[in-house]
Amino acid sequence: MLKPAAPGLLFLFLLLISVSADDNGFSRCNCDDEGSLWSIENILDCQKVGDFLIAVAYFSIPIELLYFVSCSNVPFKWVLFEFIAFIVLCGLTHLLNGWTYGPHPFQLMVALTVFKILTALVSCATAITLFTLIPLLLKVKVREFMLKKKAWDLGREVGIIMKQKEAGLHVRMLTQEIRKSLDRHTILYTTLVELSKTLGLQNCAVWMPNQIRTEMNLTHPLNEGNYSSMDNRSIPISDPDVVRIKGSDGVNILRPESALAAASSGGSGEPGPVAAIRMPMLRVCNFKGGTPEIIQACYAILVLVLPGGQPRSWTNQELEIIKVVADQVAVALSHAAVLEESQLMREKLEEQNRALQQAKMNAMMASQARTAFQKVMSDGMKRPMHSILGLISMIQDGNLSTEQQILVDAMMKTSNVLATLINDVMEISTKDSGRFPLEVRSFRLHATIKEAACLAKCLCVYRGFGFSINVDKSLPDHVMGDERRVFQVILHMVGNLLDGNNRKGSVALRFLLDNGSQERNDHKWAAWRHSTIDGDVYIRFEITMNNDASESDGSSSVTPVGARSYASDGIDEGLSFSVCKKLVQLMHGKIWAVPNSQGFPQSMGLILRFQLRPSLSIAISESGESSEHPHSNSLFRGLQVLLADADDVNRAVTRRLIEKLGCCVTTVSSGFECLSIIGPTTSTFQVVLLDLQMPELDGFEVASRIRKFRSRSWPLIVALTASADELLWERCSQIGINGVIQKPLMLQGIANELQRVLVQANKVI
Amino acid sequence: MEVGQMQRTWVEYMKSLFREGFLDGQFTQLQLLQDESNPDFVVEVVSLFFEDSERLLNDLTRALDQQIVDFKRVDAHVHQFKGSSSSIGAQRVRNACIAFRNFCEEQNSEMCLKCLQQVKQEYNLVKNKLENLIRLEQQIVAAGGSIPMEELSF
Repeated sequence: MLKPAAPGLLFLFLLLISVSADDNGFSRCNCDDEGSLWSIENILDCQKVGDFLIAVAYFSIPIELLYFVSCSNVPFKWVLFEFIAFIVLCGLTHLLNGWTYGPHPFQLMVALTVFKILTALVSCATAITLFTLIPLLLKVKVREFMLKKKAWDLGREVGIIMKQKEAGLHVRMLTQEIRKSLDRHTILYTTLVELSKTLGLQNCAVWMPNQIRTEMNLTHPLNEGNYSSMDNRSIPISDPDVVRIKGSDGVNILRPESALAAASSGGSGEPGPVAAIRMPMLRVCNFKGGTPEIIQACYAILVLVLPGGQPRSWTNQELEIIKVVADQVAVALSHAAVLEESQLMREKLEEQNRALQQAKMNAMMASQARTAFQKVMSDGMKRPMHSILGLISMIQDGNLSTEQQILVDAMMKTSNVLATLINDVMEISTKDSGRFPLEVRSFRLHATIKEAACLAKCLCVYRGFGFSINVDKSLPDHVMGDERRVFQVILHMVGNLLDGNNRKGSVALRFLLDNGSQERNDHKWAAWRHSTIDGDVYIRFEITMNNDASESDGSSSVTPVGARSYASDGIDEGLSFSVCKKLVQLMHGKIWAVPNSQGFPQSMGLILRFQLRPSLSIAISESGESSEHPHSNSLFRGLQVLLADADDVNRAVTRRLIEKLGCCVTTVSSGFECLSIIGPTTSTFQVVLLDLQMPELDGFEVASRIRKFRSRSWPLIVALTASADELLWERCSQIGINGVIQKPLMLQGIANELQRVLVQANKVI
Repeated sequence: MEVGQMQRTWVEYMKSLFREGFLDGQFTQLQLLQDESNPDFVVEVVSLFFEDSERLLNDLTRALDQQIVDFKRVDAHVHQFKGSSSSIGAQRVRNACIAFRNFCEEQNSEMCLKCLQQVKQEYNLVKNKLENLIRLEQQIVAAGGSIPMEELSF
């Protein structure tokens, strides 16, 4: 605003000068040089001009200063104002001085003097204040200098931080790249590639230790280069550089002449500075329980080569990057190792699984083949057997004389034995248990002995042996046992004896009642004898071979059928002998063989235990179908009965009723007691009366258990029940109960049912 | 009282018992079972019956007193009671038990309670009668006489 006014003012002053230049009538001093340029008028004019110009300048400077002060924020404003005042006053003084060169009024002189005095005052004040001002100004300068320095420092640090951030970004990027895959080689290659990209390397290589840890082999070079010789590729593990690198935790700079550096540098040109760092190779087996143990860690070496020819060396930032990357690589490699091992495991498992499946298939096929074979065999063997049995039974029904009857019975028995044997063989081979269920029933001993003797005689005559038999008169007729097995054992003994002897001789059979008249050396045997229950007989059967004095060795007239080769020492126990032994043991008996000089059985002995059975058949044949006296004591006398009833009153009443019939009664009050009393395989009870409605274990359960675990037909079970259900009888007979008696119990009812049951049981045999 | 009079009293008593239906043919069977080898058979059986019945009736009362009645158990007890009473020949008790069982099947607890009362009543009656009978028999035996069983045939 004031700036355009400035030239105006300038013009105004110039006018004043020209106006006042006309004034030349006042007194002057004689201080001039006449006749030259510097005349008095010239001097005065010049001075006038000078003064005015100074005044102009003096006026314009404060104006500028004022302008600047108003525009900007300057410290020490009051000093500036002082300066402004000083300058303005000086200007005014010089301005007024300009008019004093011509005639001038008195007011002018007064104004001039006043202004001069003011000027002097202000200038003095300014001088004084300036004196105090300058230190302040100097301080400001110092502060400014410090701030500058600080700003420079900050700038440097920011630079460092930026660099670190950059390095971190690099590392993150590298790690991401590295961790993208779980394959070991991919990891290593990615590392090398990314590192060279990031750091601008000439070459990058990984050295791995070999299996025996004697050398480091160059396994993953980035740039193959041209290697002059192959042995550059391995460096012994005792190389000092290698040792140093392995020992230290951080990055090592290698000397250019180290073998490692030279070998890694790759072909072209002089390599730049080389850095190397170790990488731990962690295996899965190091991680027992999560954290790796401090074991002799196996290290690989990562070598990085800067390009030569450039004035570049390893910066700290780059070294940091390398260190971090090396750690990450180690982690990624251990992951890859874990994955590899698990893959290996899985493959192994798959293979084993395949092998197992194959083996299973083979086993199944084998067992199928075996089953098929067995089936065929059993069919093949059983079919002719069954037809023979059928034919023989047809013959049995026809009219035969006594002798023929005996013969046919013997044939039937033998075929039964054969059928049993076939069944045994089939069952043994399938079950492999070798258990023989004994069917204990009552049979007639005399008939059995007759048939066995008949058969033996036939065999002896056929072979050309003599035959004699001796049977004790006091042998009982009605016994309890498994007839087929007894027959089988006797037949085996006969066969065994006859097979073993090729020479002429005669066979003697003896059946005795064994009353302990013979001495027994066997303690177990003695113990058995002591624990016998009354009503058992021991039958002794002996077969001996008496050879003739004349021994005709050489050919025998008959070839022995089924001769077995006997071992010279002892008697060869074939399969059938051990089977017989098992059977005999089951029947609580004893079998032995006495060898002769050649080791063939000279005589064989057998002792079997049978239970006596009361002679029911005689009474039956006498009494016929129905009898007038319900208390047919001959039928029931001595009958061993077991009564199981939970109710005390019922039990007492029933017990009395049965005792009235003449039986020997034992009572139990629960199903469990009943089962435990029947415990041993050969029970002493012939009839069991069961109340069907017992708590805890009812009659049905007891009956089914007896039938399942004891024998199928003995003892006879009769059920006592209050219900009159028709289906009851069916259910009972399904389980194996022989009879049912309705409650309330009457003497007549019990007698009838028991009689019926006993008659039926006798008919079965 | 002399023996003959006592015996006559006994016969009359027995006949009345049979007539009124307290006992039936089963009791006769029991008496027939008694002989020289078991002279106290009937007394033994009757005492057994009394013991069992007391126990059974207590169990029944307790079972029916429960908040939630277990009808299966009640039925089992009644069945047992029916069995023992029928084997001793207590006819009326047995009939009461049969009715009781029907209500058990229907699971009708108030009727069951009523039946229980009925059964108890009958039982007490027959117990009383039997005790009198046994006392009479003991008196006869103590006086030197014998029980005139043969006069009971009817």
